[in-house]
Amino acid sequence: MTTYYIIVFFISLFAEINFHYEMSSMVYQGTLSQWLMRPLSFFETAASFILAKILLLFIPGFIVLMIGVWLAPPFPSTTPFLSLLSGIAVFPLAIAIFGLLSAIIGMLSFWVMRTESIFALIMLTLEFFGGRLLPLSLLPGWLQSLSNLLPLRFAISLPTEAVISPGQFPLAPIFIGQIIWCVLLSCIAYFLWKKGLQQYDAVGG
Amino acid sequence: MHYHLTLLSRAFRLHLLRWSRYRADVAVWIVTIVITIAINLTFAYSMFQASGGMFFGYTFPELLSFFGVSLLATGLAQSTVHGSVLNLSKVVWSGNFDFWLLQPPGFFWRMLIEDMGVVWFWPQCVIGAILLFFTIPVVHWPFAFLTSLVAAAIEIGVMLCVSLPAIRWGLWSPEEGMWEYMENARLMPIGRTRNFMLWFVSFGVLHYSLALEVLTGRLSIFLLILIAIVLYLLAWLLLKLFLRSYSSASS
Repeated sequence: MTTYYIIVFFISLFAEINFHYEMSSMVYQGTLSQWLMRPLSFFETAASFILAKILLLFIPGFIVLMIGVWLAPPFPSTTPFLSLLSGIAVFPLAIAIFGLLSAIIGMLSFWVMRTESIFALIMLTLEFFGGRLLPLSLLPGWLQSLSNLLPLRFAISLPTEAVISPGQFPLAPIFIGQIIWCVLLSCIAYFLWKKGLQQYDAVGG
Repeated sequence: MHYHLTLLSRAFRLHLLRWSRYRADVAVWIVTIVITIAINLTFAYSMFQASGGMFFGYTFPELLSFFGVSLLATGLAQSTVHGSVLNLSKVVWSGNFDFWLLQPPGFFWRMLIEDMGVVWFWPQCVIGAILLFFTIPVVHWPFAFLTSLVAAAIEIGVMLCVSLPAIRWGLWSPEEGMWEYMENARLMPIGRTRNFMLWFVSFGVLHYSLALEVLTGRLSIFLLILIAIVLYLLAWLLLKLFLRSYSSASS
């Protein structure tokens, strides 16, 4: 159980990408216009911000993993090399899902003044159904089936279990689920961006 | 006194106006709080089932009263301290802290009038109180509210001690991280567990677990009061210390 929570803590750090906050500030203050006029697409701007944040979050993430190695041996499993390989396979897209969710919530700033509350609401719900508070197997059955329909199961619970039990846990279904959710979330972000730009008036507020 | 009351009523009106401006945001926060409670209850129920009827040594009503105390106390604490914690670093950084020092309201009075937290945190107070009404026998209600009040005082002390270094270092702004940490750590009562890691990660919100021990009669409330006094003393000393090192130029 301790190993589960340490890995979940590591993954959940990437919920702090906080692109929504930057996006909200840009729309609220009207400074988004500067980025729209530069000779690079906003997608590149957003991607560079998100990637930079992910790299920064790896620093506390590494410390969390080291604490796990120190306090909860054998961490994360009796076959750490296999766990590492599983992690390399399933973590990148898991982190991408967090980045895309942050981007989608950021796009909502075209319609609402502040996005922190929406971010808190959406992430609180999704993270709960993703297994951040509890392993999903401990939830009542109907809640487990609800979690199958939501994205963070593929970003939190399943990657964690794949790392804890490498070799016993098929990676292909996780990988396919992550790709499907990444594509779907990208489409939603793109749609919101297109619609949002139509009503952005570049004066802030 | 009249001056202070006028100031307080003006601050209150201003914050109601602000609430009106951000009413959509406020509505989403209220929904978030309700969902937080639903998630806490589901978490409690699931752990209760998994642990065969006991939750870290507590019965289900005791667990609910823990959530009641922690919500009410954090609502009271954040209603009071939220504004100064939120604004202190910005005020220092922008060189406006002089105004805080020169104007008649003292520093601790500022806590009430600066960005009034009650505008945002009243749902915690209401829902926490309702949970206490449901889980605590009527005769123990005054004691439960007194315990929550002392726990709130401890939280105010913790928040002050953590945020006061902003007077010396204007970029010191622990509010968001602190809030996130406390939000996560107050999820379970740990008073009866011997797990070092749980105690370690819950360090900032141990007072809620201790408050539950007080409510269940295993601990004296005087210990909580003593902790609050020590924290206020520490906050006062830090205030004196950092005010000495404060220079009027922005940090």
